[in-house]
Amino acid sequence: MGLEQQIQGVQQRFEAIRQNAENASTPSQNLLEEAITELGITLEELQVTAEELYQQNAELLATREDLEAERQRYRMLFELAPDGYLVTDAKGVIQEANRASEILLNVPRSLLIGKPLVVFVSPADRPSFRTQLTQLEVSAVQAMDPTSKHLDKEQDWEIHIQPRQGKAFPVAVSISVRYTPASKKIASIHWLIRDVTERVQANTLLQQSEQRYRTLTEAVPNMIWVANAEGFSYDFNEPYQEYLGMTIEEIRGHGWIEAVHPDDREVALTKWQKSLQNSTPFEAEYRLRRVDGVYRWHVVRGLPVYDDQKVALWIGSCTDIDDLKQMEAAQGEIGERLTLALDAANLGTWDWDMQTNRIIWSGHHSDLFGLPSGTFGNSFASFIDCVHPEDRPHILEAIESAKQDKSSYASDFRVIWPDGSLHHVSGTGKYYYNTEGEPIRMLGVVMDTSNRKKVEETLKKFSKELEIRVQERTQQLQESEERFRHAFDNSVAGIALVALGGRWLKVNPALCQLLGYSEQELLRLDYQTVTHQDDLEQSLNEVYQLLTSEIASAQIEKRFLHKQGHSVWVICSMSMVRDEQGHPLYIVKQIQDISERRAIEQMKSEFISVVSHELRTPLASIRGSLGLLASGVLDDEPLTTKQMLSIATHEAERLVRLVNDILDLERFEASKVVLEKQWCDAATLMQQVAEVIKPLAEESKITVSLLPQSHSVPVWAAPDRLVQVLVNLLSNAIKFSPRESTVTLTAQNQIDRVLFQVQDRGRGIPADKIETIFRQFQQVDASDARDKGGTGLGLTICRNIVQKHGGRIWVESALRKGSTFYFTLPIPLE
Amino acid sequence: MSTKCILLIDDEKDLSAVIQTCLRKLGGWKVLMAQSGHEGLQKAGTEQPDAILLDVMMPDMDGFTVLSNLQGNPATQNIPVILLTAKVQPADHHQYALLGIAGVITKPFDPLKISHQVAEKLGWSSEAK
Repeated sequence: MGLEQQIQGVQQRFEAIRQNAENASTPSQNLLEEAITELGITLEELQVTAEELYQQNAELLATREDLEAERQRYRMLFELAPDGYLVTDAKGVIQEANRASEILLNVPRSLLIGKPLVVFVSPADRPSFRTQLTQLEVSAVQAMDPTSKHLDKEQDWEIHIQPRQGKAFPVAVSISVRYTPASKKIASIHWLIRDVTERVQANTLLQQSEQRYRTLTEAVPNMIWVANAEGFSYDFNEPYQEYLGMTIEEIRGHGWIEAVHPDDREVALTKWQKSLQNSTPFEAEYRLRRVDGVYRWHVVRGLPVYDDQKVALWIGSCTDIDDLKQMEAAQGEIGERLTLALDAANLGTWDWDMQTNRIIWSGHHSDLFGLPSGTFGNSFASFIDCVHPEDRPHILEAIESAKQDKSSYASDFRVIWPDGSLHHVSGTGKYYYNTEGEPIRMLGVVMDTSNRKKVEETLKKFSKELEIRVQERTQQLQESEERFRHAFDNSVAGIALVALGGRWLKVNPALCQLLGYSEQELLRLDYQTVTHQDDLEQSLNEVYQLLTSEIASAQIEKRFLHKQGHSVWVICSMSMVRDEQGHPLYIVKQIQDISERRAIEQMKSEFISVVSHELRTPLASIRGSLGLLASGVLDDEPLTTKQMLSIATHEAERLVRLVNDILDLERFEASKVVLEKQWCDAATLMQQVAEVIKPLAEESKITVSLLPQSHSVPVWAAPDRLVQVLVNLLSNAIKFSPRESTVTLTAQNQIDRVLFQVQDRGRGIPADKIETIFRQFQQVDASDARDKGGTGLGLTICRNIVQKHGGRIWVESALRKGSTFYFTLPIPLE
Repeated sequence: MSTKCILLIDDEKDLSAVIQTCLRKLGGWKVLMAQSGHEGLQKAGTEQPDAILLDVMMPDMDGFTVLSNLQGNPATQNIPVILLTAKVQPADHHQYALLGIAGVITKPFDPLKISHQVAEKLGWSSEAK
């Protein structure tokens, strides 16, 4: 608070007291006391104020002294300043000059005062100097701040000073204009003039240097940048601009940082700031955005360029290392993968330097050898110590062998862990040689094969068990196959495997024999080829039903064709062999020869047919004739009646004979005939026979000649049966002999037998009938039986009787010359 | 109406005589006889009978061979043939059915019916008296 304000306040308070006193009718004690108190306060305040005034006065004096001291200091500074300092009026007339000005302008100070400064400006720069001065005056007045005596803006320019003697030199001029606010005119101009000859020279050099830099930066393909000492980058070469796709103006300032990948900007700027602060080389890796928007890794380097021990500018380059980065990344990946692979495979790697005999083991080695991490020794000895003693020679041998042969090293061995447990390990390695061929290094891996060994042992065990099982099974199969083969080869029935198309796949000897082919021949044929044409359809139909599973197996009677061309009746049993999925594979056929059975059946059938015919024919005649007679239709035909009666009689006799012969024959066949043999005289019996057939012989005027006629021929026979044979043969001879011919009956004793012969001069027997005439109903001519009153069974009965006696019967004959029937009866020894 | 003529081919003389009598007396037909296959074929060709009764079982040339010859000869192939047989096997009947014949008469036959059987198989109206 100012002193005047304080006095004013006191006056106001006393005026208030005075008015209170006037207003009171009688001055009160209270009012007096109040006035005294207020007076006291006022006195105190005035004392304080007086103190403050003294103090302020003292401070003012001190300030004046300080100002004087300051003035003196400035004066001294003015005098001693290394730069020229001049004070001129508005027209540039020198008012004051310091000592440096004297030196600079080479004129004593006394001579400088009052002279226009322009006279010390080189003639070349004077017009511009004057212009500048005029300009200064105008602009200074226009820009004048009414509240200040100074110009806000100092003016700087460079001109050349022409000293009184000597060469002109460049100076930097800084001016400060003082003015008079009232008149708005320049009061004085302060000139600071500095000799910049050296700086200009340096600048020239710098410009030249810059030019060289520029030439260089434009010439090199790399991205080059230039920044000033403050870090403001202002120049970028063509490749830089092309890369960013920006003009130099766009890159300047913050343009370049905007092209840096956002994630990398902080790092880039931090490093750049650090380099700027410490003037240390700048190096950073960051991604720069290419014109197409792709960021590529660059290593960016910058070096400070010094000028007089100060950083004048920075020049730097950007080198594209994106490919390198990617390669590094890939290598890193590969390395990582390799490490992972080694980890996964539980592989340890080792690197043995032969020259230092030092081995570097990978981390896994410790695990593989059961040692704490990092405790594995770096020598071969530390390795071999861990190996089972029995396996050591083997390893040394393998290593030596690999060295000698320049081949790979491989060895399986056991490692003894500190806890005494054994672990199987497999090691492989390779030598590396120097130019002299000496091994200098060996690299390899070690792998824990304990599990593999266990698996191998398990597999070996399984394999052995499997082998035993296979052997057992093989033996079973071999035995089974042997049994099958034996059965197949030795079967009396034909057995064959037949392909679905009918080709024989396998045939046994019995089938080959049955069909008359060799195995090779048969295998070249098919089922159809050797099947009788008439049976083919039925055979194929059966096969079709087997194929379609309509039937599981089939059995048919059919005919095969023998190689010789004739048919062979067989029973063919077939079944289909199928695979696990039920697909048909082939057909198994069992083929049994039933030719004999079929022949017997045929014979039986034919016999029945013949017997039936032989019996029915006379029966038909008897029934027919008697039926006619009985019906009375022949009553008017006595001759026919007689004929029918005769036929009935004749056929009845025939039927009786036939039935007798059949029954007789059946008894022989059933071995029911018992011969009551005795010694008898054949000659006598022959006489009896001659008597019996005499009527028949006389009927045809046949002479029956008996030999011998005089002596007896003893024979061991059943006489009735011998007579039956002789009557049969003799009556046959008579029946088939021409009239008035001779039939001879001979008995001849032949030591152990008696030979009987019945010879005729008849028509003879064809050669093909010689063997068959002794069979049932096998007359030379079927009508013989009817014509000659035979039954067709006579010779069969004869053969049975002779054979029953132990003898033999046969015939010799010549067509149209006659036949001779022979039979023998053995003579018993006793 | 002319009398039908039947050729009987059978080697059995007695039976032939009986059949001839039956057919003549009861059928009213003329009956020619042949005692062998050869003779039968010859007479069939020359006599051209209205029908042939043919025995199956004959020596030298059996009934089937004779039939085959008759059927193979244009002169006789249209003459209806009835087989006479004592064979009664079922398989034989099957065989006969394929022969292209008028019918079969089995031995022994009923003498009083044979003419009816013949007429029936030939589709003739019986002329039995």
